[in-house]
Amino acid sequence: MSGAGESACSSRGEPLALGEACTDLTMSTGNVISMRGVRRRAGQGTTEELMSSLDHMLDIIRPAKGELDRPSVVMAVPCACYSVSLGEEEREPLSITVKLFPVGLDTDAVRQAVERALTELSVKQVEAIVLSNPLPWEEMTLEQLLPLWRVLEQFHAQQKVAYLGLADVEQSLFEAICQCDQVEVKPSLLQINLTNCCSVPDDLRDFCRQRDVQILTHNDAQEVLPGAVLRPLLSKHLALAEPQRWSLVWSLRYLVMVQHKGVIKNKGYVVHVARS
Amino acid sequence: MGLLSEGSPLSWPETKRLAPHVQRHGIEQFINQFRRLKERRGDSLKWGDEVEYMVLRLNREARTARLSLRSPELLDQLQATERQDPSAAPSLWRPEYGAYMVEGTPGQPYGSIVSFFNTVESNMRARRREVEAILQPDEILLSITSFPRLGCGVFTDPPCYPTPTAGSSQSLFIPEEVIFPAHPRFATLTRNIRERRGKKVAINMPILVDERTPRPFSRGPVPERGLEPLTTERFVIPKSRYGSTDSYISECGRPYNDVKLVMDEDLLARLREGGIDDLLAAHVAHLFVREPISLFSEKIEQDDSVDMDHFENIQSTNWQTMRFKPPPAGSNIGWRVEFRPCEVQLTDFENAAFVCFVVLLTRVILSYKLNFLIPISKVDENMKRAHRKDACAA
Repeated sequence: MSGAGESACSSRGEPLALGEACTDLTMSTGNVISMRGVRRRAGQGTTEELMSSLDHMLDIIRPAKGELDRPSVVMAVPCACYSVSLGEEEREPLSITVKLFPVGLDTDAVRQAVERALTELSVKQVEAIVLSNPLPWEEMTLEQLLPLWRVLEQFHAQQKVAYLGLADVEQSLFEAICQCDQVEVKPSLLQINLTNCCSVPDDLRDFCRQRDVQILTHNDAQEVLPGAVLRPLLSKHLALAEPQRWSLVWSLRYLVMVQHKGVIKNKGYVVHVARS
Repeated sequence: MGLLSEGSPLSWPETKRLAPHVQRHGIEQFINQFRRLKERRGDSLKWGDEVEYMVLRLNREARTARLSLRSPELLDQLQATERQDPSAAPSLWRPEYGAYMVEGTPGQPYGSIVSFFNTVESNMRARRREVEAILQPDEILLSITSFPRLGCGVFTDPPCYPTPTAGSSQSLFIPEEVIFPAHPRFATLTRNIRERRGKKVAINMPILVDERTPRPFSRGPVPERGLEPLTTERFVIPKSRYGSTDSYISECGRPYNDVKLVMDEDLLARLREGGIDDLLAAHVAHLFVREPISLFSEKIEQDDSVDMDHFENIQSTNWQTMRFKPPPAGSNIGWRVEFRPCEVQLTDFENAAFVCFVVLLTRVILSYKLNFLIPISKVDENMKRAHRKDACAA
C-alpha cells in the first residue's frame, strides 16, 4: 500500500530533477476514482486522499527529456485510465464542481486555478465553482474577499461557470456579500464545515432559503495541504535546488458527477507550487 | 402490499388447477414488458421507502396494549387526498395483512440530488403525524416488526377469539378478524396457504420451562412436519417462498451463482426464446416455480401484451430479500429494485438511517466500482446466522 510517508523513496529510484529555470510546477493527480495502486482507507479525509494520489502520480510519472527544464512545468499522468477529458457527447448529463483552495489573497492564483481546471477537464463550462476562504474564519473581510470574487464573476460573465459558491466564511460575511450592491453574481452555494458548526443556525437557513442558496456540508480541513505534509512529498520525488523556496500557491479539487444518477464519474486534484 | 386485484377469489383447488395457466401467461407478460422497455435509457435515480405501522389501543388503568383492528376505516380517511388528486398526496397509504396495520410511502419519490437525504426522516415523521392525527386518544402508532403479544390470549380491540375449525387460517392463536377484511386478497392467501400445506401454519416457539413459573395451558400438540412423497407437486423446492434471493442477475454476479436453481425448464426456454438473458431468465423461471396462491375469477383471461396481473401474481408472492420489478403496466415508472431484508425500527431516525445508508452505499459502489459480492451460498449462510440472537458477536 502506498501512501505519503510510508516509503521514503519513490519507486523510480531517483528523484526527478527540476531544471533551474523552473519556477512554477503544476501537479495533477488524475482521476482518483479509478486509480489503481492507491488504497483508500475508510474515513480518509481530503488531505490524505490528496497526498496519496499525488504521491502515486509522482511515483509513476515518466517525464520526457527537456520537459522539466521549462519555467512552468506540468506533471500529469497521460495514461487513458486516468484521463478526465470528457467527450462532447458525455457532457450533457454531467455536472462538474470545482472547489478552489487558494493560499492568500492573490487574484492571479484564483484565475490560474480556474483556467487550469477547464483545461484539465477539456470543457468550456463547469456547473459550479466554490471558493474556499483562504484566511482563518474570523479574519476574512468583505474588502479582502471582493477582488477574489470578481475573478469568479468574470468567468461567469464569459459563461464558463453557472453557479458560484463560498466555503468557510462567517455568517455575517456571507450575508454581506449576498447583499452587496457591487456584487453582480451572488453566491448560490454555501459550504459549511461540520467541525466548526454542528448545526446550521435558523436565521442563516432562512436567509439562504430566501435567496435560493444551497447549504452543503464538507469536511475539508482549513488548510487542505499544509507545508509540513507537502514538503516531504516534494522532497521524496523531486530534486529541488532550494526546497525551502517552494510553497503552495493554490490547489483545487474537481468532482464530475452523473447528476441524475448521483454517481461520481471523476474526481481529482490539481496542485500548484511556485518558487519564490 | 402485493397485488390487489379486484373481484371474486377462486377456491384453492380451482386456483391450483389454473397454476400452469398463470405461470405460462405470466412469463409471456414479462417477456412483452421486457421487450417494450429494454432500450429505456437515461432514467434518473428515484428512490423511496415503505414503512409498516401497527395501531395499538392502550388501557393505562388495566395496563394492557391491544391491536386496534381499525385499519380499514383509517385507510379510508388516509387515502382521501390521494383519491382526489394523487399527485398532491404527501403520502400514499396501503393496507397490509393485518387489520391493525397500515403501510405508508412518500407521495413522491426522492431524487438524485444529495439534498434529498436530508428529507427522508422528516418525510417519515410527517407520515407518522398524518396517522396520529386521526387516531383516538387511547391509540398509538408503532413501527415494530411483530407485536409481542400476538397470539397471546385476548390481544385485539375489540376482543376477538380464534376459530380453529372455521375461517381462512383456522389458527389456534389468531382470530379471523385480525386479517384485513376490506380486500379479499389476504384471507384468500391465508386459506389457500393452509389448504395447500394440508396443515395449519405452525410457528410455535420452543417453550423454555421455568420450574418456578406455572406452566401455561397447552392448547394441543404441535404437529410433526415431515416430507411426504410428491404426488400432486412437481418440484421439491429447498427454500420457502419467504427467503433470501437465490441468484445474482447482473453480469458481475455470474461467477458467484453457486446455488442450483429449481425451475421449469420449459419456462426457462420460453424466456430465452423471448430474448431474456440467461441470468435474468433463470431468476424469473425460478420465481415461477411457485404456484399462484390466490386468483380472482375476473382476472383469469388477460391480454398478455398489456396486462401484468399473472406476472405480478407470482412475483408478489415470492417474498425474497430482493425483488427486481419491471415497470408496471401503463405507467412511466422505470425498472426498480426493492431492498427487502431490513426490519422496521421503532423510530423514524433509525428507519431513515437505514434507508439513506442503503441508497448511499449503492452510489458509493457505483462511483468507485467496488465489488462486495460473495458466493450466493455464503449470503444464504449469512442470512441464517443473522437471525440468531447476538449474531454479530457470535
